[in-house]
Amino acid sequence: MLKMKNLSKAFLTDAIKTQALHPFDLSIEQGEFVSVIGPSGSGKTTFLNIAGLLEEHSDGLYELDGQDVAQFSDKKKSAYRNEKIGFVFQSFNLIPELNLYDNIDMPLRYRKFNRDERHARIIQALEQVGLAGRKDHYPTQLSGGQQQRVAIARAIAGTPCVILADEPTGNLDSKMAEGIMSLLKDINAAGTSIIMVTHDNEQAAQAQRIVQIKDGHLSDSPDIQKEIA
Amino acid sequence: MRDLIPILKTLKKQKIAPALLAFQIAVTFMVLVNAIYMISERSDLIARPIGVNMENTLIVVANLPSEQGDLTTQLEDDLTILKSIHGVVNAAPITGLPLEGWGLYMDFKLDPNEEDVAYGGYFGSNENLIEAFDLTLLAGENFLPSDIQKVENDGIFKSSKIIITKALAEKIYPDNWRDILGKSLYYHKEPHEVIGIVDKLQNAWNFWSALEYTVISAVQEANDTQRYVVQVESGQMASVIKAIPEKLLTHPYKQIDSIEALSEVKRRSYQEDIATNKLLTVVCICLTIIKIFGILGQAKFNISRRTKQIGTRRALGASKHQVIRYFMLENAIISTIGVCIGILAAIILNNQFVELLSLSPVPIHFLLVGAIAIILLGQIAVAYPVSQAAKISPAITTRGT
Amino acid sequence: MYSYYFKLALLSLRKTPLLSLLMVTMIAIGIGATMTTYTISYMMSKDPIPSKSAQLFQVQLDSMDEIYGDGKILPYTITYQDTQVLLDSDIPKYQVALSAIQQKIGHINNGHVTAKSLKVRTTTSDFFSMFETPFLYGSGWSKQDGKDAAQVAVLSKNTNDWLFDGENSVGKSFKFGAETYQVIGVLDSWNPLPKFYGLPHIAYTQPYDLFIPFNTQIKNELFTEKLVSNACWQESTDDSFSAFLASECMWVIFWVELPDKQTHDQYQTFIDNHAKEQQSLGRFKNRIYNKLVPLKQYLIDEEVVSDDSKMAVWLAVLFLIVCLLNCMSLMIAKFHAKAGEIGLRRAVGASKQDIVTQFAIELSVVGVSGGLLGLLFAQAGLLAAKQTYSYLHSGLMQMNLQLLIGTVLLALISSLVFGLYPIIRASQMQPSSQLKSL
Repeated sequence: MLKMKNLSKAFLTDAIKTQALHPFDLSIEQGEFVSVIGPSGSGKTTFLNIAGLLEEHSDGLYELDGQDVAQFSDKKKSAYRNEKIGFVFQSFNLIPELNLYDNIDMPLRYRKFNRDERHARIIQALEQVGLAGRKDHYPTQLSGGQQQRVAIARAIAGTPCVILADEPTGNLDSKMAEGIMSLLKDINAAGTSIIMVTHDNEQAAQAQRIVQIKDGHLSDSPDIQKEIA
Repeated sequence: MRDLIPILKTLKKQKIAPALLAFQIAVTFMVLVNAIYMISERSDLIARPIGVNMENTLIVVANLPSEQGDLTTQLEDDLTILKSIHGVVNAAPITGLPLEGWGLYMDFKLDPNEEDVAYGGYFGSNENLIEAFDLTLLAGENFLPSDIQKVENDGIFKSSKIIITKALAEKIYPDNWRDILGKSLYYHKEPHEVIGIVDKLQNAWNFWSALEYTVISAVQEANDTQRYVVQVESGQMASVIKAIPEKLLTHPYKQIDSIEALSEVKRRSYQEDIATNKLLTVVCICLTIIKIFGILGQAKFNISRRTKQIGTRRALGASKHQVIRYFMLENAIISTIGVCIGILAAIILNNQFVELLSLSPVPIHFLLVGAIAIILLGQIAVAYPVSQAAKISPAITTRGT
Repeated sequence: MYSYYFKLALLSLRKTPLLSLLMVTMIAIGIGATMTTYTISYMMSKDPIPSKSAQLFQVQLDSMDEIYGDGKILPYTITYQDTQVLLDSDIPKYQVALSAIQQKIGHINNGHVTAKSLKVRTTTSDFFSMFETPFLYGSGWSKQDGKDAAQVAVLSKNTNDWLFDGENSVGKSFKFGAETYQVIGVLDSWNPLPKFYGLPHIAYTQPYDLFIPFNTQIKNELFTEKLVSNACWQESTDDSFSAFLASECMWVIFWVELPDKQTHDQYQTFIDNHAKEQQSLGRFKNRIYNKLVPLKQYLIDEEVVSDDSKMAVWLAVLFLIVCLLNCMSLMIAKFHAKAGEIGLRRAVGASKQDIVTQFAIELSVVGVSGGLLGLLFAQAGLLAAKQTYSYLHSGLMQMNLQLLIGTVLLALISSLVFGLYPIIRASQMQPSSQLKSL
């Protein structure tokens, strides 16, 4: 489903080349739950941005759902993000002026769904995250954990093939974090691939597979799995 | 149009900021529409034709000093001199000037014992006036030299033949204005036979409802300050203006008050309107600039405030084009609301406004054109900040602000 | 504490220079436009002679035929024959008959004559006392000179500059048409606004170039139809000047100064009696309807303040409102961006009132800066108005001290009024709301 080959990322700043990600290979199958760990500044976020088509890679091949995304125009990338990828951010990124229903509706409106279909998807997504009764509330009326649930509902409403979660529990206390993790596992169990960036080893261990990034080097060896476990 | 509902919901939640912008647009709209309408109304007034050949008509004002003897003789001498100047088609004396702001007017009766049928302005002159002004005689005929009475003042009290304007004829005989030919108009209790009708000749006061109701009587007055109308051949204006003082100043008592084109008299007559139009134009331009800056500034701040939101939208699959469309539509909606308030206010307040400022109400089609212009202006103003917004990278969602 | 807030305000303005500049410029443009138009309108409607405007009255007599009906508005001129009778009264403190002529005025030097056609105010000797004209040299003519139709003149400062290079010219002579007249006085700069005493449509033009006795005009049979409002409803008996004087033509403007109610009533009785007497002689056929129109009423009746100038003020006020609304939006945006700071200040113990004070001071700085810059814009606007309205008196386009102070105050107050809502909203922000992101 996701295939990266010899992929690398370098930044050019003031004529100095900084290698954010050294060339690596990675492939993730449909239905996998992969966590990406590593200390701050190691290149985790860069990896996530490339995976989520938010940034371009410098070199190598990236195929998502069978298509080479390097050639995509901005418009095509936007559409691809919308259909294939669901995002869950550390700081939720909900729109404060819209209520829960409309927040979830937001990405769906960029797609050619009719009103009934959008409605059905929103209600289903809200039910899945257990907030069906609060669709008219506004984000500021919710706790952090609930806000993150809304963000997850927004991510799954478009039935993406992969969810990219960026430290989804980073802003939450441990009890809330647990709830979010079990929700993500449920979603994964229903068949959606999840790539989760985290610096919490314990959480990372709940995934089927662990990838480590350290100083721009990505390693995907079974040793790490054991080490973390 | 997919964004329409979410935009409306967002605006409803924010309330005050978009309301302010809408209100501001409403006031701008009201001022702009009213100002531009006033400008166009004034321009229309100024553009009304006097009925005279404007390019080649020259006005000379000179004295007839009593020290030099009989005024009528002096007047005829002046006319002979003026007509002899190379490039002059014809010259005539006149008791006042179109749009001079000073003049004579009177009430007209068809029967001396009945009510007035009209009122209008008066010019006394001779048989040369039609050619000197280059007037168009529509019906009847010009004065004959033998029709002309020559007096030193109070010509208005003499019974005489007259030529009137078509507008005045139509005022008295709405069905068939030619019927007035051969009839007599009474003013100052004396009868005046209408022998001719000219197409148009404005009288002294540009603001007067009877501006185009004008009578030319066959009474030539010689005044100590005497006005002459001179028709000049095309292209000879400058040389005639130069020649007049040389020829006309025949003795030390002779003075020329002014030699100027009739267009100059007209410009002076409307100077207040012209100045007001300039002022209004400046107001409109300033207001447009302010509005553009205002929308630009507000859009910029709105967008910087919503940077993260825009990034999120981009991350969740909105294309650049969709982001642009979202904000353009948002502005268009606010502008439309503002314009609607403006139109409503214009309709509700119109009476008070009209009375307070003695304006005439703005016609509907003007409001509609104004509305479209204002909305377009808003779109133009918002275009730059929005194109900047589209450049916001979706990656800021993961990197934080 | 206030100096601390002041420092904070300057810091905050410096932190967002573009936004601050935009706000100040907005206020300045609005204030500039409003004050430009208001100045012109204010100067137009200003009391031209505050010390005695309540005591000055224009005399209007209905000396017309019965066909002229019972309208409330009378011509603002009276006949020469009535003028003569009125001038004999000793009830008013001062009384002035006015007309105007155009005449060729010239130097007398070495036989070489240069002449200009100037506008001449013809009036009676009380003119200078009644309208409190300032004299540079000499004085007005005496009552006797006036009666004798002496060939004397009072020159305006400009005319004296032209004829005598600004020197003390009292006693010197100049050419007045074909005659020789003597200078008896020279006025200092004198620009009453509105120039209420003459015809309404010239109320904002410069005073005329020189003044001669009214009787001198009559004696020399001088008349310039264009400079007077001559309401003639009946033909003169013949073409002579004496017949014109004896006619029913109304062309003389007549002002009286009546210091108190008693003299006012006394004078009203006097003119009514005059009318009745004339009626018995076959004149005043219409009715006995004589008015003493107070100066201020006269200015209103004759619409001396033009609708255009009123309209311009209204437009400018709306314009200012647009600018202030704009500012208000910018302020909301600005305070919104400061939410973090406000939350922090509240968290460390600032009361709502402290927040309000802090931002009010910041806004005052903006308002006053806008006012000062607006003053500059208004001066530029007035300069432009002088060009555009070149036919009007330039004194209309000058601000006095009250207007200068008023401008800055208007900027300050209006920006505070329009800032009130954003400030209160900012102060109402919950400190805790800042803990949740976005």
